[in-house]
Amino acid sequence: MSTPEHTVTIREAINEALQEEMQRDSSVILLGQDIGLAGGVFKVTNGLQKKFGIQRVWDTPIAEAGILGVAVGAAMTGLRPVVEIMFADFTTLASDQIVNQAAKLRYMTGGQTSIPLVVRTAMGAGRRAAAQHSQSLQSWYCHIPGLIVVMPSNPEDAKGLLKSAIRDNNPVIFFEDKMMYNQKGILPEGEYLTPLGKARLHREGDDVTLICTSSMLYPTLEAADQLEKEQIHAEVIDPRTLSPLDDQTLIRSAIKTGHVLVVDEGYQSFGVTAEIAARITEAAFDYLDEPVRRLGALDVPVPFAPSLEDLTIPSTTRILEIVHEMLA
Amino acid sequence: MAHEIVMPQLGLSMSSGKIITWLKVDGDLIKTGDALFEVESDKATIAVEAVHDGVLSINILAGDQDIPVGAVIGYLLAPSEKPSHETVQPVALSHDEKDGVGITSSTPTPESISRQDYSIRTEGHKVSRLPSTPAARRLADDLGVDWRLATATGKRGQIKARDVRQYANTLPAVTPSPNDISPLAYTLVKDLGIDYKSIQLQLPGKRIEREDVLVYVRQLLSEKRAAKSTEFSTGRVSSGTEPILRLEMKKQPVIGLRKIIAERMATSAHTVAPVTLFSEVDATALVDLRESFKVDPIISVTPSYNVLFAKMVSLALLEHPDLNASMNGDEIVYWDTVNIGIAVDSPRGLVVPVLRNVHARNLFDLASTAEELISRAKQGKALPDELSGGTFTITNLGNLGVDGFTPIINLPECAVLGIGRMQKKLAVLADNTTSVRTFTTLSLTFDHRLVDGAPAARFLNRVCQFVHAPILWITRMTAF
Amino acid sequence: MRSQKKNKNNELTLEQHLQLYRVMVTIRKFEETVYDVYSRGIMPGLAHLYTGMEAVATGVCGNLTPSDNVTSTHRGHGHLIAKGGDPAQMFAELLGKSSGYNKGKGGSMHIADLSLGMLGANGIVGGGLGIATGAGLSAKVLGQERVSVAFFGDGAINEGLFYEVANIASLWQLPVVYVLENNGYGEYTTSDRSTAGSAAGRAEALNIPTKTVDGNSILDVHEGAAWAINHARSGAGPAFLECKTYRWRGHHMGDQGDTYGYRNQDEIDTWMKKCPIQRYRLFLIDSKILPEFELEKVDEEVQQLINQAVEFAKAAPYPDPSEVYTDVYA
Repeated sequence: MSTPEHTVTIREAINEALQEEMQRDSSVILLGQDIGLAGGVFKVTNGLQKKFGIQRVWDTPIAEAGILGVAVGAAMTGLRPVVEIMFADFTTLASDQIVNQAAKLRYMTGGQTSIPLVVRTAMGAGRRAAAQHSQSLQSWYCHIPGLIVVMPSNPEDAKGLLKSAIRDNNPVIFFEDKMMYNQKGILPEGEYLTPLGKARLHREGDDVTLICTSSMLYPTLEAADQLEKEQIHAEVIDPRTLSPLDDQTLIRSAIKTGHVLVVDEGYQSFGVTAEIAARITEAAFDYLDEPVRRLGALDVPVPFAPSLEDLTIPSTTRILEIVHEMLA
Repeated sequence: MAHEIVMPQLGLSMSSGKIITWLKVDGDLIKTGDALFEVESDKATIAVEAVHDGVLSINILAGDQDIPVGAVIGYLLAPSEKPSHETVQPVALSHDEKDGVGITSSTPTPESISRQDYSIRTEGHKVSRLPSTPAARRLADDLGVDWRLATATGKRGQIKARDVRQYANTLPAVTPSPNDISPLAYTLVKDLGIDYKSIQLQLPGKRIEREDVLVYVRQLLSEKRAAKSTEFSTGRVSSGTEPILRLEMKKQPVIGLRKIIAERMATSAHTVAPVTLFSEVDATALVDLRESFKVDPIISVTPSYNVLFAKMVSLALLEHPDLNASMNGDEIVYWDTVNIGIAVDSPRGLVVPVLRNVHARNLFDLASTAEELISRAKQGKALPDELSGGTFTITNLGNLGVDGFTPIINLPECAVLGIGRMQKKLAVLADNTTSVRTFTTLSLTFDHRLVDGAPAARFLNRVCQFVHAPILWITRMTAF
Repeated sequence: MRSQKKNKNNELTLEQHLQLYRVMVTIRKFEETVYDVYSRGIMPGLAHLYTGMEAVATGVCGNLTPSDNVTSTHRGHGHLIAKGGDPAQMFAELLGKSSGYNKGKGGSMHIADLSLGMLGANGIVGGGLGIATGAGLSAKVLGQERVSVAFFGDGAINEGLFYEVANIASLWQLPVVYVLENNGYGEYTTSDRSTAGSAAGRAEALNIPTKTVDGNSILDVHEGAAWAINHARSGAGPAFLECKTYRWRGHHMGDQGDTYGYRNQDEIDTWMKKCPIQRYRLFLIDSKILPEFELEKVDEEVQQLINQAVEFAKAAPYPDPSEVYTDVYA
């Protein structure tokens, strides 16, 4: 597939990835609510049922556990299903299938089977969708051995990572930030795959390391711009794959700067930021000039009122505050 | 308008009391003179009357709680007023709470939610050592400096890596360890057959790079050229001690030791509030003492004047510890040992090796240590630890014919003693007769930020006393 | 005996009868040996015995090919044996040895043989339902003739997953057979205390054709299963087969005698008299289909097989410590 370099939104990038992989491998099928006829509630799978037919793109009933259960069985017997769970909050309904079945069947059967399954789901607050439609539950799934957890932050990574996820023979939970579907970016020419398990350096700097996931890249880059004006050079790194984590890249950066802030949209307590902070502290303790700092969402259910919801989400202001505290 | 009901003073010695019972109920309409509540003091139980009209609003209920005299326990409100506080049930303080060890509320306050600050509060917790970060200690280790001498700039009073680097920059260059040379530079020194340990670093702690080797070599060559030119001009083989009789245009980059000295001296000059005191003292007895040491067959290393002065200064510092101190940010540290730095002129510039624990050590032990140490320092072979950690410095220009001068303080110390030449002079004695005596001028520069003039003068005076009459301190030492 | 005489299934060959008998005896002897070995304290973990229910697994799997799929419950030894599993590798797995089917990493509750299409016993009640339905989806999408059978119990019929996947199977006409092994107990609770209405009625409500058979009659089960499997294989969608049976042993090995006090010995005795293997044996002999000595020969051969399986398992090595990290990811 030779495509020229072009600018797309994250939504379009994901759609392209699905198209290309379904074209390439007829065992790739899509399962999810409203993904076929209606093109998906976020319009990500638009046009795919028309192109590939109803045997490849299945509109399912509202039955998250059932959908995932079917997907696991299909993955064990020759298909490569990509399931869309409308909101990450609803993965709770499919917990057993993801945690007890998909994540463990390979190990429990002593390697007799593998589950080449991808679960795409929309997370993140800011949509005023309130507590049950706004959560960022990635840390839950990072906690389960056997799962791969991926969070792209831009169109290029979204497409490349999804293609890699579909080709990977393990169950992958692919978190898309629902507020970022319109985010634009340039895709390189031609076919490309983005490796799983590798972080990406967005900016280099010597003074402070800023580690950010998914949509947190944007307030972090904004903060980094502001810090440049203050002669503070921030290094910005996006882990991209949370589990397994490219902790070596993060640790090396921490050793260089001695100051680290981790930003993730999950609830701050017991979250992704805590694991990253722990690993960095364990490995780079002797090089730290400040304790590793974390910034997550407030430990409250996401409120409806826009003024309150905005308080709960990590912001550029808060990032700058913490960095200034660290370097004071 | 609300009238406060307070715990009354019911006796001159009463400082607190207990509310035994309220005689009226919250919301009751009270008239002046009504009995409101009963109080127990050490002496008795007394009923307290209302001194105003009003609606009773009870803030503190009856209970075991000791309430200080004057504390508000309720209000008498005008009928339309609302009580401003909720009624509080006094809790009999548990043993723990009485001791001040309480359990803070685990419910996060809005403050803590928004800050998400999970740091343990350490106020009130006595820290017995200077806080420092792992990065700072690691850097200090790498650079071979003592992190405790760095000035803390961290907002919690901690010494951060930048502070160690700042401090290290004030120190003279260190001799590199075998790990401190780049592969490229190592190849170069091997090819040239140079002992790289004698090469100066650009900055302390940084490893020797190719540039350092080149600088060193250029210096060697220019020295050789200078010697060679003498050879040609006089037609004789030069021993190197004859003066060069013409000037040469030469440019030398400010690098290495020179750069460090320049920076340190400037920093000291701009930071310190220097005052120099001059004292001329009759040193005849000291000179005689040294001569005696020289001819004593048992003494293998005769203490130099530097060692003698170091010893006298250290003993004077024991009596005047104010001058054995350093300023660290907002804090003055008085050291518990006397380490004397001895300024030494080396071919590369000024270096200051440090004699440790001078106050406690034997003169002859000091003498042999000093001889060896100073010799190595002159050759640039002193170890990093030997060039740091001083609490006072002495500098002797006597052998160069200088009397008094204004030495610059060696930060972070607070004083430096300059020693002038020993010179025979005609002195007028107490009985107005004259005699030939040996005099020397002592110049004490002190930092007026820490030390005032009078204490400094007293210290200098004491040193002069020691110089004038060595018997005062010789007897205090253990020999050998 | 009456149900045997009504049996129209006299199209089975001698070999097929012998095979059915052999499978049931293998299951019986395997489970009873597990009982014995476990009781001696050398088998770790949990064991859920299929004793008394042999006809269900045997009858259903007797209609399947090696490429057909089966998912099982926590009580899965019978299904794996009926699908062609090797008792030696099974026993090794139960003892946690590396020569076991799952390299010792799954144990009794997760035992599987993917090469035989047996997609695993499952420790989650109803856990196999989704997997079997998914296997049906893949057969349909890939255009294969594979049928997938999901064994589950009267406890699992009340798990939400059943409705979700059966609904999907019916909607999408997937080649799945749901076999309800109704032994009257979900752990220590009888079905009348856990299941409102009728179990099979639930499938009917989803437009899935159902049949109920005597689960202790191998021929009834075999016939009923033939119907269900053919229905599914024909592309007509899922089928539901309820087999009424009984487990002789406790829910698991820790459930002995009166520990949980939920059933009485009379009931057990009554059902033991309806032993499916005894019934079949008598039927074969009475109907002159097979002589007794042939059956006894099978008994001996199976006993030998099981003995060898136990020896194999006991002698097999435990997994190397490095195995703890393998097969987490593909």
